[in-house]
Amino acid sequence: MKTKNLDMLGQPCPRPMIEAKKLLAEAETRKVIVKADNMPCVQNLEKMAKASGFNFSFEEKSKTLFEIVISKSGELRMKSEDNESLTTFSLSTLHTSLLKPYGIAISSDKMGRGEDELGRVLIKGFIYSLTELETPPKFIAFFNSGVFLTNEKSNTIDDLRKLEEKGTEILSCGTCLNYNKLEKPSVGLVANMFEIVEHLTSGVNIVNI
Amino acid sequence: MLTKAVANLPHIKDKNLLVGFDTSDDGAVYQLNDDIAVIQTLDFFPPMVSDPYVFGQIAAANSLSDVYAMGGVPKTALNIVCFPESEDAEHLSEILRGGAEKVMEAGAVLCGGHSVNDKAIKYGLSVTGVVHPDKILQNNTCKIGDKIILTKPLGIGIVSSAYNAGVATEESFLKAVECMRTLNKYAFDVASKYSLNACTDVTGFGFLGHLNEMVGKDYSIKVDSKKVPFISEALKLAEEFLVTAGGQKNRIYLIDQVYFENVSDAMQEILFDPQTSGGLLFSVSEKDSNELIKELKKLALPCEIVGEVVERKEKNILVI
Repeated sequence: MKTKNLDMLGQPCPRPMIEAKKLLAEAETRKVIVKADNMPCVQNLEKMAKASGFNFSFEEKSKTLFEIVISKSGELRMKSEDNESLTTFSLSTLHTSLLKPYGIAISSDKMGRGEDELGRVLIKGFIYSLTELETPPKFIAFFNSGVFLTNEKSNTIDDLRKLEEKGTEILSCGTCLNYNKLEKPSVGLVANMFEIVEHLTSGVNIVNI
Repeated sequence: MLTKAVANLPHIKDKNLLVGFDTSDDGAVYQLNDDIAVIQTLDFFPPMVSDPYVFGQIAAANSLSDVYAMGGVPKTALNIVCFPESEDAEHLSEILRGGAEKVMEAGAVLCGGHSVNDKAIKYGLSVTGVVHPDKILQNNTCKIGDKIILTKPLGIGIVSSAYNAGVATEESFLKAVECMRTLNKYAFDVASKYSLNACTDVTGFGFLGHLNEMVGKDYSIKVDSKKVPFISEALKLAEEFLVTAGGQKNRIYLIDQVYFENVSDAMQEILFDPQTSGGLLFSVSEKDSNELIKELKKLALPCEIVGEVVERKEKNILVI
C-alpha cells in the first residue's frame, strides 16, 4: 500500500535500523526508502533485510549519500483492499481482477537480479507466501533453472506440495529437467513446451517471476 | 585510510625507538637507558554517555589503558579538550574532574593539557608511562600453546549505542559504563606477576580486530566463542540487528582473516563490536593461565580464557 521515506542522514547506527524496522513492522508499509550517510549502515540494513526475506537494493548517490530500498516482496496479500500495493511489485496484471484465476511463470531458481543467495531467499519467501493466499494460483509453470525448485532437494518442496493440495497445478518443463540432469520432479507433472504455452495463453492473468 | 596516510611519513631510524608505527601497537616506546623506556600514548574521542563526569572517567580509563597494554606504568598525563565556548563551563569541569580522578586512581600525575574551541565535544589524554626495556609487552609475540585471556566482557559498543538510541535497558547500560570506566590497571597488576608473552587492549577494532593484531606469521589464534564473556543483552540486540557501523566496518576489514565454525551471526556481531575502554588481552603460557585466571576472577569484572595460540592455519583466527 504505502511507500515510506526515512531520512537518516547524520543518524548513527542503530537508529536507522530501529526506524526502518518500525516502519516495516506496520502492515500497511510495502516499501521503505532510507537515506543514509555511510556504507556500513547500508550493509547493516542489508543483513536485516536478507534475514527477513525482504527485497533490498541501494544506490550510492555520493560518498555520504546512499539511497536504500527495502520492500516486502515475500508478503503478498491478495485481499482486495491491498490492490494498490500489488502494483508496486510488478504484479500489476493482478490488481484489476483479483478474483480472476491467475497462473505464475517461474523461469529461475532465484528471484530478481542481484546476489544469488538473496535471490534464493526471496523465491522461497515468494512460494511460501503463495501458500498463505486466499486464492492460490491456478498453476505454476517452472522452466529454465526454475525446475530446480520442484526437485526433491529443493527447500521449497513442502510449500509446493501444500499448493498442489490446494489445487494448484505444478508444471516442470521436461526439456529443462533433462538439460539440468534432474530426476522426475517430486511434485506436480512434467510438461512439454506445447503444454506450457497452452497454459500461459489460456487467458488467465500471468505473473512472471 | 590511516595506514595509507601514515605510509608517506618520513621513516625515522633511531635505535632507541623500540616500538613505533610499524606494528599497530598501543603506544610508542622509546628507550632512555638500560633500565628505562618511556611509553607515550594519545587518545581522545566524542562522548558516548551523556553524564560529563562519567565521560571523563571513561576517556581517562581508555587513554591510560594503552600504557598497561605495553606492559608499563603510567606516570604523567596531559588533557586534550575540544569544547564549544558557548557550552556551560560546568559541563567541562565535570569532564575534567572525571578524568583527573581516574589519573589519580592510576597513580599517575595530571600535569597540564591543551584545549581548542570546537563545536563538537571531545576529550582524552596523552599519557606517558615507564617500562623496563626487557618487560615491554608487544602484541604479536605470542607463543604456540599460549592461552588467551580477555579481562572485560564484550558488547560495550552495541549496548551503549543502543541505549543512546533508546532501545537498551538501563541495567545493561550501567554494566557497560562499569566496564568502560574500570581501569585496566587492576588486571595488569595481577598479570604482571606472571610471565606474559604478549598483551594488547580491546578498543575500536573490536575483540577480533585486536586479536588479529596479536597473530604472527608463524601462528594462528583459535577462539572458543562460548567462553567469551559479554553483556547478555548485547546478544539480544545483535539478534535484532541493532549493531553499530563500526562493528560492520570491522567485519568488512577482517572477514578474510577470520574463519567461523558454527558461530551465530549475532555472536559474530559481538566479536566484531568496537569497544570503548575495553579489556586487556593477555597471551600467557598454559602453565600459568589457570592460576592467573583464578586471580583475575577475584576482580570486579567477568573475565575468561577465551582462546589459544595454535600452529599456523590458513586464516589468522579460527572461531568455534
